[in-house]
Amino acid sequence: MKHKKQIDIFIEGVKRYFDHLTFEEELLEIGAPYLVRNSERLGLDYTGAISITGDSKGYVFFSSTSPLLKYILLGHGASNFSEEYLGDIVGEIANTISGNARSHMGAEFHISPPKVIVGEINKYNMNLNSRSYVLPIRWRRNSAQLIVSLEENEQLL
Amino acid sequence: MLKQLFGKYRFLVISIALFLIFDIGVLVLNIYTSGKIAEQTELINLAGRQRTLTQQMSKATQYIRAQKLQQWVYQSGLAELRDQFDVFGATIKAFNEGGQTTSAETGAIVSVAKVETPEGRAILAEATTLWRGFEQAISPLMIDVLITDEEIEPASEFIAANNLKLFDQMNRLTEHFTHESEKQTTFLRMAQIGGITLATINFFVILFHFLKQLRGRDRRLEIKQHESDQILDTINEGVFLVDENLSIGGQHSRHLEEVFDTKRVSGRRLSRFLSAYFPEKIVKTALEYTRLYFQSHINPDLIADVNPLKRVKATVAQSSGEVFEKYLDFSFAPLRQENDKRAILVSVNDVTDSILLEEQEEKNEDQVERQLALFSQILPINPDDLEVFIDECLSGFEQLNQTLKNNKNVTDNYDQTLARMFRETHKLKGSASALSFSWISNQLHDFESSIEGLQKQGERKILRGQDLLTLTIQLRQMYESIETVSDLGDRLKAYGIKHIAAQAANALDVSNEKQPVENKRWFGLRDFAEGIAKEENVAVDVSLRGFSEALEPHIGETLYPIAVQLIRNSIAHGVESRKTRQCLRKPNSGQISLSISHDSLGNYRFVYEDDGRGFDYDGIRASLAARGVMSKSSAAKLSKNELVQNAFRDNLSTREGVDQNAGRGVGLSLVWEQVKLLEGNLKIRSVENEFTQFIVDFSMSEEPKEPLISRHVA
Repeated sequence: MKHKKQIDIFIEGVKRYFDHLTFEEELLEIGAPYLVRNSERLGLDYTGAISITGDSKGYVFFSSTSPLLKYILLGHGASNFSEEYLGDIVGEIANTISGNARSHMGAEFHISPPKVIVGEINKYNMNLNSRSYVLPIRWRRNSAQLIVSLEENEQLL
Repeated sequence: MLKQLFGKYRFLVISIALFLIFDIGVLVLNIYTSGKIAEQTELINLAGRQRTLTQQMSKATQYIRAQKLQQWVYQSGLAELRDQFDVFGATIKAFNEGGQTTSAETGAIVSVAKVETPEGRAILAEATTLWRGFEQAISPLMIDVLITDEEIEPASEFIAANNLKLFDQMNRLTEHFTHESEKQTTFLRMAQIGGITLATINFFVILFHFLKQLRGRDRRLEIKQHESDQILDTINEGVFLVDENLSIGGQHSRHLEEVFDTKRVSGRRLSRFLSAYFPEKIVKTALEYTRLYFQSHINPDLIADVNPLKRVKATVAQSSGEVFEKYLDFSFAPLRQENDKRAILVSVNDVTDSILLEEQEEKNEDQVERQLALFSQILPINPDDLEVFIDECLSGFEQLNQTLKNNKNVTDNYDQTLARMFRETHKLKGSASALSFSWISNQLHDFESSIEGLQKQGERKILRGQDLLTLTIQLRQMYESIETVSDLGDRLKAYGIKHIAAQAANALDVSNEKQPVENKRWFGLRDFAEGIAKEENVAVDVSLRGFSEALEPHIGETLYPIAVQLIRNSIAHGVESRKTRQCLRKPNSGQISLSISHDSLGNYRFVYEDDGRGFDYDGIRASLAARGVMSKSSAAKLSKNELVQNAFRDNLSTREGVDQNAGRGVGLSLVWEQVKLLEGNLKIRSVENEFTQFIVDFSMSEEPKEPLISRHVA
């Protein structure tokens, strides 16, 4: 259940961002997590990606639809919804996840700075035969996903 | 030092010494010749004066002769003549013997060296002879102020006759001296040219020699530089120097840049450089350890023995943002530089591959052990059954995942989701148990336990999506497990290994029934039942009828879980112990029969029957009350028919405690779900202590039908 501990930390990072944003944690809803084959399409409109190296290796993506990001930008008082601005927001959320993970996971893990991906996630470095966890997120009726793609360093068998 | 000078720099010293000798020689010669020229000039002047004096003496004699009558007049001429006579005489004497005379220019006394040249001496000899005649002729005029005719006449005549001769000889002497002077000058010039030429040649020899040496040295340096560059470029080790200030030197191997994926190495502080790749603790250790090498009193071999920087883990972030873990070995070698300063040669080796290989080997050993254990479970399973089971699992897991995914609305009530998942899992667990595949059935059992835990949690609070994460993680593990099984199955097939059961069956040929490939696993239910019976400490005989014909896959896949669940139920709840059965005059082994039949219209009947104790109505009542479905009194009022219907509720079990075979209370509920899949009717007949019978009627015709459950309780 190592993954559970790690995913809980990532969820906490997401919550921390939205908590800070709205002061209303209850507004953020996380649905039942499910699995997606890495060979299938991953990611919504904009994705903030961080890579993790340590006992578990892999990627954590915060992927969001444009409306959710626009909603956040509106909250910031912005009127410019350009691709760059929307990308900045997912990057910021991924950065919060990364920062939270860094403080909880310790020196055994190395967590990279976030990268922003527009559109489908490039799975160049991912094991296409494996499966990623998808945690559906809803915030003010807009959807996003926390996608966690972890590979154990030790094999199942 | 001298040895060094005359060794390495001998050529230079000799060259410079020669240069100085040439220069000094020319200088000395110059000084000497200049002196000679000055002397010669003096002689020329003196000879020139002698020439003039011959004329002046002639003139004075003529004057005295002309004025002889006027004594007071010729006195001045006489005085001049006497001076001229003295000067001439003294000078010619000096020429002949060396001595003093007055300078022609300044009138001062000058020393004159004896004329030594043969030509000069010959001229002087002639002139001296002639001069003696002059002396004889003039000397009477030197005595008194009064000159007589006897004195002046012969003198005047002699001088008139010889003065030109003497003049000519003095002229020749002057020319001789001039010639000698020119010879001196020419010699000096030649000597100067010779000296300067030699000095110049020497200078160019030195110049070319040094240019050659410099060029040779530069070339050697270039070759050395090129060689060291080549070594640093090709060496398969990260190498760099660290000085006493713990700063990295200017040169390093190219491999170092590859190891740390950076070009920023030279001149950096070691601490800052390492901090980018290692945790603070390791950086501190590295710095403390490096400092030890600069302490002269500690033996370097001793320090090397305690090197803590072996197999240290570095985190290297590439420019692409990707992060790699590397295992590195550091080694240190102290160096003493030319200026007597100390430096440390640090070598870095990337040992990631060998460490990963070691880890992989360890893992492989574990893996081989686990694989062997798994092989021992897979080998007895008929490969066709295994294939069907793998497909069933993959499809079942897909359904479980889909069930999770379908909860679009995060505020969903998860009760139904969990119940659906439980049934699916239970069905799969049944199939796994039927194959005695404990590795998978245990995982499914754990998954069931997790679902049950969440269901209980759901009774206390509203479940949120995040709470189901445990299930998703377990589901992923089960996916991986079944994929591993599939992989092993394929490998077994590839190696042509037949399963043990198949071999055993072929060898003994115990059954005369011809079993179609598709139905083989139905006959495997006998082993499954015997396995459970052993665990429950009872005995059973399973008979199958109608399975010699191939079943349609959909029918087989739907009925099989029903059979599995009912066999579980019969053995866990129905079949009595041998002792009880004897009291009831039943056969020692519980009799379980399964049959399938159909008519020409595609109407099927599946009948399952056991000769056990029948439904435990009191147990159902107690369970209903315990689970809070209804009060005890309400439960007490329920008819047997109603009780049987309630037995099909989720999570209702009459068994205390949970094990692999029963207790979840999901078996009958699953049976009903499967019947619904077939759109069939379920009839149940049960006589206490006699039998329980389940009849599933379904049709494969296209006519619409409604699933129905009916109970017949005797």
